Amino acid sequence: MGDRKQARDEEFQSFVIGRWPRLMRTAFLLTGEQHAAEDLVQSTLEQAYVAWRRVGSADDPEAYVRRVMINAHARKHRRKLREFLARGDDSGLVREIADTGDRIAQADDRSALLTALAQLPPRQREAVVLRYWEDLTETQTAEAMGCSVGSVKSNAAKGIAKLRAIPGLADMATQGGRK
Amino acid sequence: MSTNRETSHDMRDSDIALLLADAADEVEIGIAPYQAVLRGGRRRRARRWAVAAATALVLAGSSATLAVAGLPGGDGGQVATQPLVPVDADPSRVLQTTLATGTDQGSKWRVLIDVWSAPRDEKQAEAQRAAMALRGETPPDAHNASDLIGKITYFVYRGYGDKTTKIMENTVPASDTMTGTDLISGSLPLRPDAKADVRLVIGYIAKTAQRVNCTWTNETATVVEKAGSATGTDVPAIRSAAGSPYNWFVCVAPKGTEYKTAEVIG
Repeated sequence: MGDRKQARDEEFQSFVIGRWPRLMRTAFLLTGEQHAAEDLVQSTLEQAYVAWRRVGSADDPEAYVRRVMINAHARKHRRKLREFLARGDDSGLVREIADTGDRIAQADDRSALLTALAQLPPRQREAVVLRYWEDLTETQTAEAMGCSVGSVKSNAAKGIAKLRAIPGLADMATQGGRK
Repeated sequence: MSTNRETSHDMRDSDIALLLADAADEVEIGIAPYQAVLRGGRRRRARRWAVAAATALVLAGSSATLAVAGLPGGDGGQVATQPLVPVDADPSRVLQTTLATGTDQGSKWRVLIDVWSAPRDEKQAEAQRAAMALRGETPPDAHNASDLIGKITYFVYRGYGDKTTKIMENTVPASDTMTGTDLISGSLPLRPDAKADVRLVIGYIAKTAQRVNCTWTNETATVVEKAGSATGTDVPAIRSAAGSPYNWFVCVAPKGTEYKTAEVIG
C-alpha cells in the first residue's frame, strides 16, 4: 500500500520534471511575464498533485493539466497581466519596424509580439496559444478552454486578426522566425 | 505536437506559429521546483477544508436549520452508533454519523457527516438531488443530476452551541479508497465565530489505519485510535461513517494551542 503511494509520487515527479519546460513556455505566452508564468505552472501542478491519484491513472493527464492551467489563468492572471502591462513596454504596437538579423532587434520583435498577445482578451489569447503554439486541434482546444469548438474558432480568428494588425508582423515572421 | 488535427491551421497563419515558438523561447525555463510543488500541493489539500468552511458560512443560513434538525441531542457522552454500511443503500436517503462531540467553554460542539450513496442511474440521481435540496445540501461540481451517478457525496458539519456550519463537501467515485498512511485532513477554529484559534482537526484515512497522531503548536500531541463498539463520541477516535469509503477522525487541540500536523502512525 505504501509502495503504491511511492509509485504514484514517483510518477508525479517524473511528470513534473518532464512537462515543466513546455508548461513554462505555454504559461509565458499566456501571462507575458516570467514570474507570472512560474506562478501559473506551479499552482497548476499543485492542483494536479491534489488530484493525482485520479489524474495520473487517466488516459491523458496532460489534457487535465492543460485544462487546470487555462482555468487558473482565466481566474487569476487577468488582473496581474493588466498590472504588468500598465507598467510595461510603452513602445507597444506602434514601434518602428526593427532592423533584422540583429539580436536586439529580434528581442524587440518578440517583445512586440508578447505585448500584442498580452493585449488580446484572455479567451482570444488562450485560443491563439493553444491552437498555434500548443498545436492542439480545435476539439482539444475547446476541451481545454471548456467551451464549444465554434467559440474556439471565433476566438482564434479574432486573436489572429489582431496580431496581424501589428505593423511589420510579416517581416518579423520571415526574418525573426524560429531559432 | 499533434498531427491528427481535424482542422489544420491555415497555412497563412504558420508564420504566427513560428513567431509564438520564437517568443516562447524567451522564458527562462529553470529547474522544475518539484519540492515546492509538493509542499504547495499538500497545503492545498488541507486548505480545501478551509475553503469549504468559508463557503459554508455563506450557505449557513440555508443549511444550518436543516442540518440541526438531524443532529442528535448529545449529552457529550453518547455512544457512537456503530454505522452500518448498507450494501445497497437507498441513494435518496442520507446516512448520518456523529464523528465527535464535546464541550468547550460550556458550549456543546459536535462534528457530523452526511453521506449519500452512489445513485445507479439518472432517475436515482434526480431523486437524490431532490432529497439533498430538502436538507439544504447542494452537491459540489454537479451541474446535472447525472454527474452524481456512481459517486458518493458527503457533507461534514460542525455544530457549536446552536450554530451549525458546513465545513466540508465533496463528491467522489464510489470506488474511491485510501490506502496505507494516506490521510487528508483539514483544520479550522472550533468556534464558528473565531478567526484564529485553529483547534479542530478533521480528517479521513484508510479503513486499515489504526492510529493518527495530531500534533499541536505547543509541541504536544494527541493520538487517536480506532473506536471500539462502546467508545463514546466524546472520546477522540477513528470511526467509520455509514456509506463512506474512508474512516474519519476528529482531534481537538488543547485550549491555547493550535493545529500543527496530522499523520497516520499505525
